[in-house]
Amino acid sequence: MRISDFSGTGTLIRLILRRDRYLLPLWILLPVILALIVAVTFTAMADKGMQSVLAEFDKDPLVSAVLGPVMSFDLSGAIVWRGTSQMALVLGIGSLLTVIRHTRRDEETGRSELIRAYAVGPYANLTAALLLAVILNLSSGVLIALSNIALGGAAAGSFLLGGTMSVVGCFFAGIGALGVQLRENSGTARGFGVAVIGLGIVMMVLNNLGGGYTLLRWVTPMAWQRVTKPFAGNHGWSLIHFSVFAAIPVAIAYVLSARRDLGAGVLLARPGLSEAAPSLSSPLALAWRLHKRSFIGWLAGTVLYIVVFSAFSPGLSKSGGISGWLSGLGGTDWIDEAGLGYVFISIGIYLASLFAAAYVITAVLRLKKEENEGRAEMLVDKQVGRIRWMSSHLIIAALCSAALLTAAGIAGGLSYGLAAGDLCNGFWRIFAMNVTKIPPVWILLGITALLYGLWPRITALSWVVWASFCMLELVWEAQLIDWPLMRISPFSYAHYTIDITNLPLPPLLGLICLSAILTGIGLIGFRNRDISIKA
Amino acid sequence: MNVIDIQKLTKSFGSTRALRGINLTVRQGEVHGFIGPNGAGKSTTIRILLGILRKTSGQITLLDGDPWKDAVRLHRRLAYVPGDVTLWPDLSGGEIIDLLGRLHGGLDVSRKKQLLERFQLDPAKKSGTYSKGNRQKVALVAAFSCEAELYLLDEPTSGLDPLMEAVFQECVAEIKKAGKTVLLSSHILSEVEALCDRVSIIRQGQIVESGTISQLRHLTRSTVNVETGTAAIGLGKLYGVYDMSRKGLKYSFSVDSDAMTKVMEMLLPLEIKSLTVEPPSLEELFMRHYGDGIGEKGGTAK
Ligand SMILES: Nc1ncnc2c1ncn2[C@@H]1O[C@H](COP(=O)(O)OP(=O)(O)OP(=O)(O)O)[C@@H](O)[C@H]1O
Ligand SMILES: [Mg+2]
Repeated sequence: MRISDFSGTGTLIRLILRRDRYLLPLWILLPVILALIVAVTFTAMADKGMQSVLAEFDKDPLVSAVLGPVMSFDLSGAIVWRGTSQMALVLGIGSLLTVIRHTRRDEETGRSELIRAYAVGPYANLTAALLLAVILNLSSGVLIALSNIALGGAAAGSFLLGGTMSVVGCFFAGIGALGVQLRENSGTARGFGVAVIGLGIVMMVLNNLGGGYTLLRWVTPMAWQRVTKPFAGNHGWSLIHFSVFAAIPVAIAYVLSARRDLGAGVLLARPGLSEAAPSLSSPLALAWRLHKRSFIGWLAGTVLYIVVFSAFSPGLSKSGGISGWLSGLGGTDWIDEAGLGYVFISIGIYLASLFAAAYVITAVLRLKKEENEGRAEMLVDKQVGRIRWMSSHLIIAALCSAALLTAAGIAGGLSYGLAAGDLCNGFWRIFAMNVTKIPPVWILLGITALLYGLWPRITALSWVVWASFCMLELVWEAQLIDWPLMRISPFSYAHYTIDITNLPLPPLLGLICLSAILTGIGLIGFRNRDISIKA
Repeated sequence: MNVIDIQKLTKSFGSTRALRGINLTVRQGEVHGFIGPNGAGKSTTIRILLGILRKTSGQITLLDGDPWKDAVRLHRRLAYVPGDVTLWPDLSGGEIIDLLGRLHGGLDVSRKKQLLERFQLDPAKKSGTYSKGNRQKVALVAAFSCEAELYLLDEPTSGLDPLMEAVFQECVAEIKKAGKTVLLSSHILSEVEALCDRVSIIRQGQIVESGTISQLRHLTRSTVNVETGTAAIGLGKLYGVYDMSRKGLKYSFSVDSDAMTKVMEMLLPLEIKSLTVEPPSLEELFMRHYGDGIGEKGGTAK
């Protein structure tokens, strides 16, 4: 490595800052907002004193199975206990996407070729993207620390919390940098990064199931706060250890990037077929061909997640100590009736349905990518009507999301049934829990399709809607809003607090009709609007 | 002095052998045409010269350095225009030109203004709204407003209208006048004919011909129409004569340049009544090299 290998880094950083001037503040502020939401919800709950609220949660076997033990019984401790995994997730995804967007995505489109022909060193682009991710994470860390101090937290612990979050984010920036070296497309890099994040979450849950202090807490960034222990001993020195850990993928990325051609991956591109398979003969078949790979990735992730969750659930004993908060959520005694492990898995499936909804949004937005990159234009003149083209992708999105939840139902049902020793009963309940999540997921499909058909420029709004439904759940769990307001969220109609054997079906049918209507409006809108043309 | 000197260059992508031993020299101050059919390896060669692809084997000297190891130092002295320009859709054309100029280490502002005017490019538009030709112009304006000794142009005019094509040719002529060197890959033969001092033809990863256009012309056949007083027996069987057709005493055939003397010697005693000789068109010249009939005797590869 020579200095000249980094030539141009400064200019490229300014380029990224210019391009991401709206996106970066979002990624920086989102974790801070999450921390503040946790603070608000706990303050609202803590009429009996923060200490006793947290102590009650800490004794609750179900809550601590998911979130692990509380480390410090005050507001700062509540933020660490409840908020770190979400903050880590947001910073992780933000760092990952930022790095990919400014490295492989630019190579894939050919912009890097233009850049690299100027006096730009081979490491400049990667370095600029990584430095920017570091800036992102440090800014967010400092803001997390400052907001904690403002809420009355100790300075040392606050900065340690912020620092831990920054290092976690940087680790995933490194994962992004490593992922983009693998293949010539950015989809592979995203898939790789999301798989690492997913693995991190699974390990975090396993760590919490194991009491919170297993060896896994060293391995998964989602549990590093259990090593650095902000507000609970402040083991600041381990940040150095984790910084080194985070640097490993970065180092590998630099070595790999020096060995490969621009635009290529270290894994060689596989040749495609010289002729289309006979089955590839309709827009629908083409859509399936385009969605297949990402669907298989999501499928593998969902099934793995559900199997792990279901296998552990029946083992959760009903050994009392359920917090008043949790039993209050679903009306009287719902946990006693349902059984602890059963509630645990229903929450797990509820979360899976939120992820399935995220999948359906990405699947529908594939339409936009196809349109913007000029491929829609190529098809709609080939006796493929617009409606037919758009609906082909929507059908695939609907079927794949349904398949995702059905597969989760089968795998989860088997896993739970076998682990509980009551295959028949267990299977059908878990299966039903999963399958009844399909209608709410399709609502997101309908909303995204509607936005795409009518106002393609603001399809990002579907993510806002999705996030709002997630938020609604959090706020409702904190009992800041009542159930009637919670009903805005389609997911409440298959909510985990409702006994699956008594779940009213008409509202679900209503959801299906509603999503069909939304989709229909989207299709009509698309028929009547301009197709964006790549000149 | 050679600005580019490539010896036995090969490049493989997995099992695809894109370049199979390229030898190419570009001299100081010349405009060198680089032509060949699709997939022949032109872009691959230029990308190796830019140091963004790694050679598999062979020797390359670019200016006075190694394109892979000394990329940054060399890039301050060269400018590049790709054939398919992708830009950041959320940045304006003007922003991108300035950005590229900064990456080069500065651009000539008055020249930039002049070029924007000549290419009729509105720099304030978001590049996402540019047409194909306008995207191409962004890269052209950026490259031509940078001070450089060597210009690597890979199908730089793809998508330009004829008016802009003319502007481009003027620009290259100016560069040449200033003593700069240009390597121009192109499918537009009139452009190559108008601009290039020397031409190299690449086919399936190998340089099959290299030289000035008139030298290349010499390598191929002229079309001869002749009317004689007496029958020319055996003319069609003469070495270097092809596609003989006859109408009475009017003959029409094509002939290798080096067989021309022999043909004339044979015709002279037969009393030539009329004679036209057409030099091969550039198209014919390239067709012969592009097509599969290369190296075969007999039959034009039209
Ligand atoms: N990344 C790659 N992986 C595999 N093969 C490649 C790659 N890049 C180029 N090739 C192959 O190398 C050969 C040369 O391609 P190249 O782009 O240099 O052709 P070209 O002469 O520029 O053609 P055109 O006139 O169409 O631009 C082609 O057969 C191409 O398929
Ligand atoms: Mg090319």
